[in-house]
Amino acid sequence: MSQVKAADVTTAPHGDGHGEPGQRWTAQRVGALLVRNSLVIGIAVLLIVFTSADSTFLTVDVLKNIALQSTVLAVVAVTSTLLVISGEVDLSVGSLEAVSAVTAGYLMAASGWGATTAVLVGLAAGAAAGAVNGFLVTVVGINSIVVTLGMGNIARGLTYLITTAPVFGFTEGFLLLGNGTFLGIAIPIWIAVLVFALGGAFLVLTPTGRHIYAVGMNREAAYLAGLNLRRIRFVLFTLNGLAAGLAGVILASRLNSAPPGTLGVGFELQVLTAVLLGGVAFTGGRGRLFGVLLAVLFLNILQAGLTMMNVANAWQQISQGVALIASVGLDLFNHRRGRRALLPWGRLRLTRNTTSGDQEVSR
Amino acid sequence: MSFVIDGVRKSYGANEVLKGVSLRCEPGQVHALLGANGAGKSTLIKCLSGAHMPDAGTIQLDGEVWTGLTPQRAAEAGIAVIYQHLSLVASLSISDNVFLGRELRRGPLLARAEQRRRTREALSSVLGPGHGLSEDTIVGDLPIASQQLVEIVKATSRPGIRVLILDEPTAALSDREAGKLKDVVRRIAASGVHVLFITHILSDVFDLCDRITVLRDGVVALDEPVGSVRTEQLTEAITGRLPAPRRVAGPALSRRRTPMLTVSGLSGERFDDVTFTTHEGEVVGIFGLVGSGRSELLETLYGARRADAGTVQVGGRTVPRRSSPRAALRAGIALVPGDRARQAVFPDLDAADNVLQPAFGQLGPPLLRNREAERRRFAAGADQVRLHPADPTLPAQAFSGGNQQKLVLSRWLAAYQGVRVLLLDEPTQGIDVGARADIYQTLRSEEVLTGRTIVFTTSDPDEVALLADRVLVLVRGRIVAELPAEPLDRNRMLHLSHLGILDPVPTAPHTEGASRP
Repeated sequence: MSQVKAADVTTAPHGDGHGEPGQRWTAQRVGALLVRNSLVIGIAVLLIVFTSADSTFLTVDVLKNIALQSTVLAVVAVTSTLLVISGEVDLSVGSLEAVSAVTAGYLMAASGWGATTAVLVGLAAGAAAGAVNGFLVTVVGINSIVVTLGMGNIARGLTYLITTAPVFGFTEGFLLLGNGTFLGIAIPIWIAVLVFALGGAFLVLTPTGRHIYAVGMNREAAYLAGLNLRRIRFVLFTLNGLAAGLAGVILASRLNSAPPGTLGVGFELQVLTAVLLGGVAFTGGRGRLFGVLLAVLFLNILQAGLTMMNVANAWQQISQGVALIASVGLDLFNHRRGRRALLPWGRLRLTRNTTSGDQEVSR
Repeated sequence: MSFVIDGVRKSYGANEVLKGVSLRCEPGQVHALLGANGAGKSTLIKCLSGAHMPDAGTIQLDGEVWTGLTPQRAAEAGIAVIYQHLSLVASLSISDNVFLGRELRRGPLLARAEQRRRTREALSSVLGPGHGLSEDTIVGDLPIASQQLVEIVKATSRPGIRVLILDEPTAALSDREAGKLKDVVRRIAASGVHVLFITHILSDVFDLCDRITVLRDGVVALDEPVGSVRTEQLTEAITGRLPAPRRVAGPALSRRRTPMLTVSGLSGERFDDVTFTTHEGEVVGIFGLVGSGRSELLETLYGARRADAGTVQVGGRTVPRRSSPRAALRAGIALVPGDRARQAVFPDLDAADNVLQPAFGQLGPPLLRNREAERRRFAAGADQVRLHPADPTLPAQAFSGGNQQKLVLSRWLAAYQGVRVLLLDEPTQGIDVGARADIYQTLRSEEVLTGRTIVFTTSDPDEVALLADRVLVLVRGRIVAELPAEPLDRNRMLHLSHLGILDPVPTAPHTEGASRP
């Protein structure tokens, strides 16, 4: 049995890192810097690799096209970022996208409505479904994963009730939404930039934007600080539904079709991938919108480049998954190193350099 | 054959909490450990359970010296601690809990029948005949008092148990439940286990224990057999011979004595028929021990728990019965909660975001922030509570406990406007001396008390003496006495709160969980 003499008890822990020699500290700081900017570095690496594989990759047209491809994801990633920061998640956005697109499309193609009213009704459908999510989570109190998983099925089913066949034959005006340009830049890009700016302004300039972080970080403390937990989260679910609706009509316009069975399938996981890759904590309370924007671009550059290089679809999907896990893993690793004690082997390595190291190691 | 703690020292930074504590438990005896808040009891337990490592000193068990205790090694040594927060899994049965982590196996399979049989035996040997518990009962379905007994059975049924430490086990129990618990403890001691019984309740000591050790400021202030100690000696050992500290200078009480907070007949979870009035500029202390219902009372006043009966008025206007923190804030009531980490602080958010959360919406035009006003309010608040460092961009977790508490305090003073009743639950628990003095100075300043009244709870007699104009003694959910705070009769206050005499003590109603969203 490990019974040590009394004198050995006096072990002041030395390896708390602050006073350690410069080299390690620098290495750690560099590491932290790299991890914090891993997406910028990742995007740069992708651009270098793809450009060296094909010199036409880094051209304005290709980049514009990547931006256009990113818009649908970007629009929903903005509101989903706010939602995840507040500690909730929405797995229904793919189906809400479809509800909105099919509703708007059907009204135009089958009922002969004008583009504007049809789009507005489509957006309203997305927002309404989002509001139902919000009601069930905040007022009834059901877990958001359960609610939105259920809503995803319900909404998908509703699109089939509207029509089973893909809707097409849209008005000219509607096709402009996804395919037109303004000042030489595609309209969906303008929309995504606007949504991004609004989301950023919401986070920074409004009281609710500040509350979102508090609610996601410590819900009980937020409640006891007098914040309106219900209203805040209800608004976010509704906005997320609205954004999904917007993404849906943009996508329908670009595809010139709204297929109820395939539109937006798996989209919720793409959104969540982008949000988490962008550095938003799944547990809530932490995250920046800019990081998510970078993540959206990263994922789309990756996809565009691999497509260009004729890499099989399977590998494209695998690389996205690896990027997500690697990014969050790196962040965690860095976080733990910063705090020093959580990783068992991290602790050992730190104490080995100290006078009481042997004893610490032997424990 | 005994359990000896010898010269245990422990510091946190510059703060020496245990200054060489020694005590000796004999097998078969129940040894009481008493002491005011901050005397070092919890730290001593943590050193024994392996949660913290002492800086010096030894622990001897039946002649073996144990050092460098970790939780695993403490278990090996046969030391078990029962905390107030039980460590049972609510969804499992009693027998599954008892064998959690050391399941019996037959080959690759769980030997459940054997576990159930042994649990049945342990229940009747530890709890005695007629305990009325079945080994198959789901723990979550049991009242707290029975869960506690299960925890004790779990601890004592481990092979090699030699020391059982109970941390204020009777605080949350009714008299009848406490009596049953004491029977069980006696039986365990009789089987040769060393029992260390931490309590605030003097009747526990005299009913149950054989020897008393009192800790004060990290040293042993008294160590005697129970038979030779009088209660006055005990309260004196707990509080010290020193005269009560002088109250922090504050503004003279307003002559008009305008009532600000009027509570009448308020009843709720763990407190009953509470009536008192506080006036503008007045600081009222509620002296109560763990389990007295002090936190529940404040949280109910703040609308975070539902009141069963009674009314609350602020400045003559009644606060709606179906209240919420938001409604309470509208009425002018704010709370600095008792559990800073869980209930008040946003660790990764910066200081400004922590202080200004409720104030954001007050400062700008509708739906917008006003950064300049925010900056000014934060700076004014940092100045008022002497925040150190007064850096709005530092995350809250980078501040010391005391300065985190200042952030929370500042939230309701300089930042959010309209607080007329400030409630504080154990405002200086776990806070260093310097920050504590700052907080007292702030709370008693003219600036803070003008147009406001303060109600705080505490179990520290010195805090009452330093901060309060008046003190209400809360025992098991009832206010049993009101005393002036200057001069403060500390012995009388402690006597009342520890014995809970004067009024017949009601059985604490047992209700599950607070109503929270």
